[in-house]
Formats: sequence, structure tokens, C-alpha cells
Amino acid sequence: MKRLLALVTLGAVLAFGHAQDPGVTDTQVLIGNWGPQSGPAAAWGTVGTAVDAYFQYINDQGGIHGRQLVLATRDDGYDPARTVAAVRELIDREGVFAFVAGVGTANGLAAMPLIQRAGVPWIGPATGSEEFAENSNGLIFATFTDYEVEAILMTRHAVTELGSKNIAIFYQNDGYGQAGLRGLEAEIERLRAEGHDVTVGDRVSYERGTTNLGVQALRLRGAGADSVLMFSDPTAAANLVNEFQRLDYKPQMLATVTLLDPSLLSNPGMQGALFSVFLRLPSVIVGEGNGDPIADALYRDVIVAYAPQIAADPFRALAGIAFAEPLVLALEAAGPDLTRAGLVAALEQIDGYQDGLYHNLSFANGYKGNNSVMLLQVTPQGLRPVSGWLEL
Amino acid sequence: MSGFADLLQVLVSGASVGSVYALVALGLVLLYRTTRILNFAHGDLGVLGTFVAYTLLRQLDLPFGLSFLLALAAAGAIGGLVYLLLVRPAKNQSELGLLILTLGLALALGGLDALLFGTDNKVVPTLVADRIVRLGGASLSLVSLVTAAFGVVLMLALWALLGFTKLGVAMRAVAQREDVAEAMGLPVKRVLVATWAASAVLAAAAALLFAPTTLLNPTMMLDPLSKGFVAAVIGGMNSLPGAVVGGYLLGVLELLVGIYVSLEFKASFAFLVVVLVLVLRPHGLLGRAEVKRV
Amino acid sequence: MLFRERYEHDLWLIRGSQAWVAAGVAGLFLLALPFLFKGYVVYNFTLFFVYALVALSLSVLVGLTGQVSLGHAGFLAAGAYAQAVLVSQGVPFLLALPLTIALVALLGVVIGVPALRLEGPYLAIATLGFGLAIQQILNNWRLVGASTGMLVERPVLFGVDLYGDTPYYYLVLAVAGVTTWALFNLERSHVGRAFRATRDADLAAQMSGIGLARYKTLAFVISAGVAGLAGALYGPLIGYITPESFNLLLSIKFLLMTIVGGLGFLPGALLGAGFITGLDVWLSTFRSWSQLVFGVVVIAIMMLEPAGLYGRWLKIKRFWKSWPL
Repeated sequence: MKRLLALVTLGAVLAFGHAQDPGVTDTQVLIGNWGPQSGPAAAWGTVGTAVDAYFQYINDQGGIHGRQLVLATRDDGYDPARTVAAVRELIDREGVFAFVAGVGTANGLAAMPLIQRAGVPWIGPATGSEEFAENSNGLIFATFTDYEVEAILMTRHAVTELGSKNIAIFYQNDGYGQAGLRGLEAEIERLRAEGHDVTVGDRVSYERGTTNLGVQALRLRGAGADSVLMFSDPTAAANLVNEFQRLDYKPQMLATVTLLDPSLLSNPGMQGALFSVFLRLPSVIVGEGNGDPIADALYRDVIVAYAPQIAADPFRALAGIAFAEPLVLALEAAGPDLTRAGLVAALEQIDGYQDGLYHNLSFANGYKGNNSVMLLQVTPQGLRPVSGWLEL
Repeated sequence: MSGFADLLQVLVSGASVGSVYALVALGLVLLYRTTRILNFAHGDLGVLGTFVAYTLLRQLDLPFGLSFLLALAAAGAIGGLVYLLLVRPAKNQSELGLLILTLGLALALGGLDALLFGTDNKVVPTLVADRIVRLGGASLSLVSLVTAAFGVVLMLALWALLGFTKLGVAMRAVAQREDVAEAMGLPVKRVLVATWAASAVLAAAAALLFAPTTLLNPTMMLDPLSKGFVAAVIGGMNSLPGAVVGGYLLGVLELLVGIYVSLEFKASFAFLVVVLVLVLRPHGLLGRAEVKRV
Repeated sequence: MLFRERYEHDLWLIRGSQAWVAAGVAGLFLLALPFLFKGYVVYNFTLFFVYALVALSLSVLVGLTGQVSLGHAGFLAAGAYAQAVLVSQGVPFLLALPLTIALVALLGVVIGVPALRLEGPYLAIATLGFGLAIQQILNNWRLVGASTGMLVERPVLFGVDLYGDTPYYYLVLAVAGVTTWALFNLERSHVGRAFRATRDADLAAQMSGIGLARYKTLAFVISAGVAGLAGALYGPLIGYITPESFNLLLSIKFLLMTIVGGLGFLPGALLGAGFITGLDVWLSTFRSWSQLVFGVVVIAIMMLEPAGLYGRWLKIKRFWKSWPL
């Protein structure tokens, strides 16, 4: 039946001589996505759920140029072999128009050649690895501020604003953590050349999923670090901070955006810690009354209204919306005659957009649309900004 | 890293984690020696119990102690039901078949937790408000001490249960020869339900003690479970004291390796220890070889 | 022909005319598959062949000799990395294949010898540790890209670029087919019988002159070699390998395939690999329900069918053939 339909469609297309890209009809646009909904990384499945909620929200307001946004999402269990299977199926069978988000560095790297070979635009890979923007080929539009840039900006702030002399790093031993390590080392070298008296106290890693972090805490205290960069997941960070408290060790902590988890923020040991952030944040994260109005509205109207089951995980939920934001903007700008080339052209014209979740979204100078980071501090009243938007 | 204070610190930190490993290992061994089942759903039973406690605390505002006890009871009931509804009726009663059954159960429970309670991280409060106790230059946390103490209390309770009650004697009898025990008129079914329940209670206790040191989510017990297996194997799968020794040993050794050898290979090291111990003693430190008939 | 009535029956790999027809139809289907379906189906079948090799290798170890392994993702990883490194050093793809098999088989000796002293849960946990150790070694080994992993290109063989789905499908089909045929024959040989003897009654086997240590290690070597071969095909199939992919969950899935398919039957491993790979594809649209459903399906099979899917198939076959007796 499907085949017959496809033939009929093909015939219709030929008859009217109207070359339309896959996934687009007069009434809908089909967008593909993958992420772990099962297995140990299932928490990141929130991203896909949030994108879906965002699409429903837009559809209820009439869609885009009369078209409804439809998300075809697949669970890959964080296994690249299954990501490839999912992406193949989404391209070959579902015929998606574009991809959005897509969780995981390894998973994305496995999917990237397939997506590029098929010429499908991919907006907002849900990973901070720099590989995607660098190998864009005019198809991949990344918005996650990369981890290395985050580490550089955090290090710079710690040394120049807080007078730190001895910075250590606690990192997950994988691409994510090592990007943080690279950033720290590069920036310390630069700062020393400028005459700052600062050293890398220690580089302390942990393997993903391990829980006994007593040694890491002892090593960091032993190094006498006055500041500690944290490139970990929230669970490991909570573990480490609890160990710090037992050791009565109180360094200045600087954490990446990945650690913005309400349960970690509520830990008394995190008081005074700095967080780097590349999105506008809602009150539910930064404390009642401190939230950005744009983020508050999206959290309330999209997440709470359409996907209450992920409302307890606000950062990942908002990040999901943020990954889809450039896509929606470009679909709007590309006009009613939607083609992939038109979408890509519209994406490339996004320049200095400030009305969404990003401080400054721009693909005018490359495929990394967002390079701004803001630092916030945990206070008893919630998260309060301690810097403006920083850029390299 | 040197000096007496640091060593003491390591011992205390290690013992605190070790008590969680020991509790997990105890539950695994208790079940294994009676039923010959390597239970991969053990961690998820514990997580489910912790979610029950969390719900009672946060949703129903029950006091902490009561939530804790009710969660233990719930875990026990779930453990017993797992035996009655899944394990006993299962047609595949081979050791490997039942192992796979528990793997399936682990996946199903993890999926169920994610659906019912969400995959976001949750904070479980500690048993007592934390304070730092100074001792010989090392700073000890009251919570670690209480955790360790609570673990010891549970282990003593289990020892008393097995050694001095009728149920305990029956459990040991079923562990030795299920068919003979049945022939002697022991209510084998009830004994096995009790074993599953006791094992699940230990799982929940371990998870509840562990949760405050980290964050509660459906995958929380993955690492402690694999460490619990290691501890149980080091100690000997049929030796309860072995499980306790294995747990504390592993907790402390992991930290020592992290400090003196390598952080990167800390986790692999645990398994290197297993291989070394097993090559020298194939049935663990305190385990006994089973006599096979040909 | 339902039961084995004469000694020759035991020697035949394919028994009876109906079985020949069935095997022929299956063979033709697999040969024609790339022309019947779209690329993603071809990819999923290629992945199934690779996993089937691992499931078979595990079936030799667990099913025939009774030694359990929860670390077969480690052998798969070793194979994938060995092949990738060899090819990147300029070794031709086809020469790298046997070298990879030899290297991973050697690793099988290293694991198999200490495993001789272990059984049951002790072996399960020790092999689980092996899988984890391989993962961590790769994760910290700069030479092979550490946690970043390695990009793996598909080879050009005899002037044919295997970049596309179809050529690579045929390569994997050929390799997997030959290996499966070899393993089925191994099972029927004196080695296969010796394996089963060590599984069912090790003391009695030893008294009949079967060198326990030799055969148990041999099983590990064969199993590791086949899993390594699967790894060598896995890398170019996915295009990108990273230590993270070869985790405990994958090892568990391989054991699931073997046992859900039917422990002790090599065809069961094929069924199991197909079933689990297919289940994963089917469940990928289930969103947050996928893990729960996966678990429930596994539980259901273990509760309802002691001999797995293959056992169920044998029962159905017996029922139809002997009906209405």
C-alpha cells in the first residue's frame, strides 16, 4: 500500500514538474531525531520529548506556513550501531526533511556521514563537541557552546576576576571531559604568558558511571587548589561535593552547563559555586523571580503544558527547545515554498537573533551559532549572574 | 598524599562506601546460596525501594524514619512477589535461564522506574544531619559513620536471623538440599519467599544508605551492583561473612589504588583483584567448593 | 524426517528434502535481499549477521562447553580496534581479517587459561570484568584515539568500493555464511562432542581421555576468534568506533541472544540474534516504553519456553509433522 502511495505521489510530482524535497507536503514537515530513551543514558531522552512538545506547541498556534511540524523520533539506547540504524530508517523509509537535536557525541559522529551523504540539513546536534560545526559542509548547524570554549571562559574568569592561583579540574574521562581539560590548559598557558601567576593544580578524572569518588576529593584537596573546574555529570558532581564536605574542603567550584540540575543546585555544598550557561534560564532553575522572561514563558507554555513528565528536568527540557529554535526560525523565514536549499539559506541568514533562548544566535560567521557564555553564582536566593555574556 | 591522617581518611571513606558494597553483596549471596540465582535485578529492586521512600517522604510528607521502614517493607514484598509470580512459575529453571530472567527483570524495573518517577535526578536526605567529626587529623563525616554503623547493625540482624531463628535454620536447610528439606516437611515455598524478601530488603537498605551520597535516578545502583558482585565473588558466593569482608576490602582497596596507582584504572583494578583472588582461590576467600557427584 | 533414526542422520547438516528446500529459499532470499528492500533494511540485516557471529561464538562457549561469558563485547571491541589499526597501518583489508582473528584468539587464550579454574558465577563476574577492562584500556590508549574513538573506512576489494550498503552486505553475508557453516560442522565433529562432554560431565569426560584444559581453552580461543572476526566487520559497518559502544549492556545483549534463541543449539543463536536485533528496531519507536517492553519480552520468553525460541520452533515442527498422532 505504501509503495503504491509512493508511486502515486511520484507520478503526481512528475506530472506537475514540481521537485519537492522529501518530508514536505502542503500540510506537514517531517523532522527526524534520535536519542536514548532506554539504557543508562535514558535521562537525555528528555531532549527528544521537549522537541516534540515544542512542535506541538507551534502546531497548536497554526504551524508554520500552514504546515504542521511532525517529529519522527527513535530510541537508540545510546548505542551508535542503533543510531545508524535509526538514521538510515528515518532517511530511507520515513524520508525526513531535516534532523533536529540528536543526542550524543559518538552517536552523532556515526550518523554524520550518512546525513551528509543524503544531503539532509541537521540543526542543533545535542552535544558540545566541536566536530559537528567544523565538518558542517553547509548542512550541520550547531548551537551548543563547545566545552573547550566554556573551560577557557571559566578559567579566564577565575584568574582575572577571582584571583585564582591554583586551578584544578575534575573531569569525566571521555571526549566531553577532555575538551574541558584542553580548554583549561590552553588558557592557563596563555594567562601565564601574560604574566599571571597561576598553575594547574591537578587533573583528576573519573570513569563515567563510577560512584566511589573519595580519592578524587582527596587528590583535589591535596593539590591545594583554590578553584576546581567541574566537567562531570550531575551524579558524579553530587558525589564529589558530598566528599568535599566530609573533608571540610571548600574550593571555588566552576561547573559546566551540563551540571545545571535542580537536585545538584539544592546541595548545600554547591553554595557559592559558579555555573556557566549558554541559554537564558527560567525561574525554576535560577530561583523564583530571577528567571529570564523568554525562558519562563517557554518553560510554562511548552514544557509544563505539553510535556509535564519532563518538567522536573528543566535544563535538558529547555535545551531541547533551544536545539530546535533555529530550525523553527528558518522554516518561518524560508517561506511557503519549502526546500532543503531554502532552509539552509534561511539558516545561514540568521544573524544576531536575540529574542530566543540564546543570547546571540548567528550563523553568519560559521556553523557554530552560539559562542556566548554567562556565569551565574549559586546564592541562597537562587542563581544570580556574576558576569555579562562572555565571548572568546 | 602521605601521612597517618590521610591513611585514616582513606580507611574511613573506604569503609563508608564498603558498607554499601557489603550490603549489596550480602543480599546477592543470601539469595545465591539458597537458590543458585545470580540476581542482576538486585540493584533495581533497591532503586525501586528508594523511589518508594522518596515518594512517601515528598508526596505524602511522612517522617523520614517511617518512610525508610515502609520502603524496606515494600521492597521485601516486591521481592517475595518476584519469586511467586516470575521465578517459581518460570519454565526455564536452569541457572543461566534464571540469570537471564533477572536481567530481563532489571531492564523492566529500570524502564518502569523511568516511566513512574522520571529520569531526572532526585535528592534523598541523609539519616541524620551531617556534621564533621575530627579524629587524629582526619575529618570524618557523621553520616559516613552512621552509614557504616547502620550497615553493621543490619548485618548483625541477618546473622541473628539465620543463626537463631527457625526461619534461619530452614533457609540454611533449603540452601543445602532443597529436595531433602521438602521431604522433611519444611515449607520450602515459604522459605524461598522469605529469602527473596530478605534479599530485596538488603538491596533497598543498601540503596537507601547510598542515595544521599549521590543523586537518586533509575540507574543509580548500576555501579554499586557490579561492585557488590565483585565483593561477593571475592568473598565467596556461598559465604555471608565473605560478602562482608569482600565489600569492605573492595571499598578501601579502590581508594588506595586511586591514590597510589592510577585513577584511570581504578575500576578495572577491582576486577583484576577478582581474577587474582580467584586464580588463587577459585571459590573466593571464604567460600567453599561444592562437592559434585558424577 | 523428524527424528534421527540412523547414524548417518547425525552426520547430515541439512536433513531431508524439505530442509533443503527451506535452506535454499532462505539462501535465495538473503542473496536477493538488497534488490528487494531499501538501504536501511540492508543495513539492519548486515548488523544482524555481525551480531549473529557474536551470538554463535557465545553459543559455542556457553552452549557447548558451559562456560558463561558476560564480556563478549570486549572481544568484539578487540576485533574492531585490531582491524581498524591494522588497516590504518596499511595492511590490506583481507590480510588484516585473519591477523585480527589470530590476535583476538590469542586474547582468548589469555582469558581462557585463568578461566579454567572458574565456574558458574565466578566465571560470569570475571568475564564481566574482562569486558570492562578492555573498555577502560581502550578509553585511555592514546594510540587508538582513547575516548574519542576511531573513524573506520570501508575497504575497496578487487576494484569494488564497499562504501555502499549492497557490496558490504554481500561481503558480510559471505564471511558470516562461511563461518556459520564451519561452526555447524565443528559442532558435529569430535571436537564438538568433546565440548559437550566437558559441559555435561567434566569428570567423566576426563576419564574418557578428553583433555579438559585443552578443550575448555580451545572453546575460548574459537569463541574469541569468531567474536573478533565479527568486530572486524562491525567497525567498517558503523564507520566509527568508540570504547563507549562496547559496554556491559552489549555483552548482556549477546548473552540474551544466545539464551533467548535456545542455549546449546547453534541455530538458536542465529534466531536469537535476529530476534533481539529486530526487537531493538521495533522498539525504537516506543519512546520511553521501549526498555520496559524489552524487559517484559525477555522475562516472558524465559517464563514460557525453557529451550528458547529454537526449542519452541522444534516443538511446533514436531507437532505439525506428527499430527494427528
